Amino acid sequence: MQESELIALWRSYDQKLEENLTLNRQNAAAITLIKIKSLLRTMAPMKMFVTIAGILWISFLCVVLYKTYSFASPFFWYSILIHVVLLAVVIGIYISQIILIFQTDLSEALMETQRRLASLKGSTLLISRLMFLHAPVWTTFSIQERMFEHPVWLTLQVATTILFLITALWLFFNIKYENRDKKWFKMIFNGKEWDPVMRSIEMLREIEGYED
Amino acid sequence: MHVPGDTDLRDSDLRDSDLRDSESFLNVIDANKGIIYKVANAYCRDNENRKDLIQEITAQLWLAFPKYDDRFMLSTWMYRIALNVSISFYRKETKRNKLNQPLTAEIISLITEDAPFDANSELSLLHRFIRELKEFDRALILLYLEDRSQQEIADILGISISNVSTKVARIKEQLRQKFSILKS
Repeated sequence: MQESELIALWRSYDQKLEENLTLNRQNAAAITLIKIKSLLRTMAPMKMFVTIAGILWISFLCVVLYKTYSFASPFFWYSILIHVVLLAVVIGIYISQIILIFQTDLSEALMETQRRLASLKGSTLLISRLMFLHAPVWTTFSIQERMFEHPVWLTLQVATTILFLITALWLFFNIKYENRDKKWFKMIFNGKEWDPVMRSIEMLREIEGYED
Repeated sequence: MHVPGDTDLRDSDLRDSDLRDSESFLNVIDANKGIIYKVANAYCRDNENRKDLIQEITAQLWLAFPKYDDRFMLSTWMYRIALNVSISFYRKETKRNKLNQPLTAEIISLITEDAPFDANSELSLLHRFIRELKEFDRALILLYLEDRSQQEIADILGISISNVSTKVARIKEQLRQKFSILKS
């Protein structure tokens, strides 16, 4: 089909629409009377709640770290410290997501708006990676020095921690878009809520390619 | 090529009117209903989803109406919102959360539902081929077929004019090939 034929075809569509398309003013007017939520800002309250709860939790843990510095078991103290640092990074991502929500304007150019939206959704994968990364601290924070006197306990503890550490590190480095079709990935990220996340990362790549 | 009634209301009319006025808004929608319908149709094949998408686009247009920036053409503003809503919230026609759809009746509809679309017609095929394109390519070819200038297409998409012309040529070639495969 030649370009002129393509355009002529579209013109015929335009013509048919002109003859057939009708606006129901009453229904359109009804939209102006109801309270419309911004599609983007509906995402903000939950993220704000998580951010505030996270900040309160981090603050509490900081107080605990400060107060127990002189006498707490090093396992407890450093485990909590690692937890606090990783959680602070996660909260930082949540804050950047909230900023993105408020910066995004649907009347801006497609590339800019879609980049913000895709970054917003895609960063959820980074949060999951960080949450996996701090899993080993749950095996270390309750270690008592006297546990080292029992070889069986010690072996079990070390084995469990190493297993958690290796798994967490492996997941942190391997949870990425490129592995989305692998069985283990699908098992972890099973569910409809993860589809938009993957689609967003795919879109981010499309956007990068589109601007080349 | 203009959408139905596209010339009825100009940007300058808007500047002089109260932008929050629902009557002005309805006039804008009425004059540009073709833009909304065509964008929704390009991103939603299913009738029910399309009806919801038209409603959502209209709702988001109303929400953004007081902030309309008259440095841009009205059509640019409308295309940006309609396309952003369509791409963001109706990807692959997944079931959506009905956050903003309190209405059940249609806002923009065809008097004769099947009039413009004969399933075997070339027009129907063109629609099918457009829907098979990636989201941004779909937006680009839609704007091209709507006879928007390269500058306006670049403004709507946020890419350079040279990029617009390269990509339009590539998509046209894709469409041509699809038609020729079908004919052969």
